[in-house]
Amino acid sequence: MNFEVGTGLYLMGLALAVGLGLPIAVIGAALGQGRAAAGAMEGMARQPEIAGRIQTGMILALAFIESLVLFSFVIFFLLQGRLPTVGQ
Amino acid sequence: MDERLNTLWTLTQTGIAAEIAPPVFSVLSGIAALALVVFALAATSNMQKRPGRLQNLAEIIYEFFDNLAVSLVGERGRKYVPLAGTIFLFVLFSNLMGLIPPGVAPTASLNTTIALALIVITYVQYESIRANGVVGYFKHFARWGEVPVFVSPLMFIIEVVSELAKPVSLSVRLYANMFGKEQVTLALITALAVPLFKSAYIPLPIQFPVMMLGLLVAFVQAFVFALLTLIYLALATEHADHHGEHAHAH
Repeated sequence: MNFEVGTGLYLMGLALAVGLGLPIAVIGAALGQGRAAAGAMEGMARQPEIAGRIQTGMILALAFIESLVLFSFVIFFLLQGRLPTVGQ
Repeated sequence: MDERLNTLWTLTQTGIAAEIAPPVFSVLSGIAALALVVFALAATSNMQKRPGRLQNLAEIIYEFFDNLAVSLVGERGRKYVPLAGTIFLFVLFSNLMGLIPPGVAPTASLNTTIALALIVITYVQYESIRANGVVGYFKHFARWGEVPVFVSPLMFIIEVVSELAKPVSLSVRLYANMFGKEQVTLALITALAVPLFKSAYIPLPIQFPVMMLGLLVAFVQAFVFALLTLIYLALATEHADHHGEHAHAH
């Protein structure tokens, strides 16, 4: 009995982590990327002559932010593999 | 039919990497490398003053990376152009292979991306030692002369850890992007197309938006990989000459 409660709690935590982990990461990254892109656009509008260099920097910053989401995406798949299927 | 649906279901549940053995990815990346060789030979075999289509394409790519390297690293960045350009083309070819329906991108496997990242990081260390000398290489890690002496040991640890984190983030970024695209495509097929059309191979309209996104991601990730290669090289060799205009991204 005790064992079953423990397993249930474990599975509940696992399901919550699988379901909510990635969206939380996405919310944070979306806010960050929005700020980065907004700043870059503003810079480009003010100084169109260095738009190319700003764009390079912006892509780099977006890639760095995005890689954090992708880390949690990989972890999402690792956790998802541990969830039992309906049959089990 | 049931058999096929079951296979698809296993693919989405366990991930492609678990289903497809590493040798398959090796063969696929071999094909990508071979395609690069063919492209290079075809573009340079009959060079003319007024370039044809292929030569023009190759020149555009080379010029783009030449400008990028000079703006990031400075004049001595010219010698890194072949490495960065080759990595860009290889990653781009590999990424695009995943968009042709039965294919899988070799970069959707950690084996391929870790190999690429290790090549880059090893070369960065080599260049750093060559530019600064062995003593200068370790001084660079300790930020010697830039921070107070008693902070140097701490800086050394921090810098070593961040140096070790570079190949990890470099490889996982590319892997997770391509793997994610494949997974989302597969999930759309199993979750929507199979129940709607009762077939695994009709669902083009449903996975089409993801494929378009995959096309964008393929280009951006290839560019980011090459860009980061250049930036790591710029950071590793920046002490060799002591005048301004360096990459300061970190």
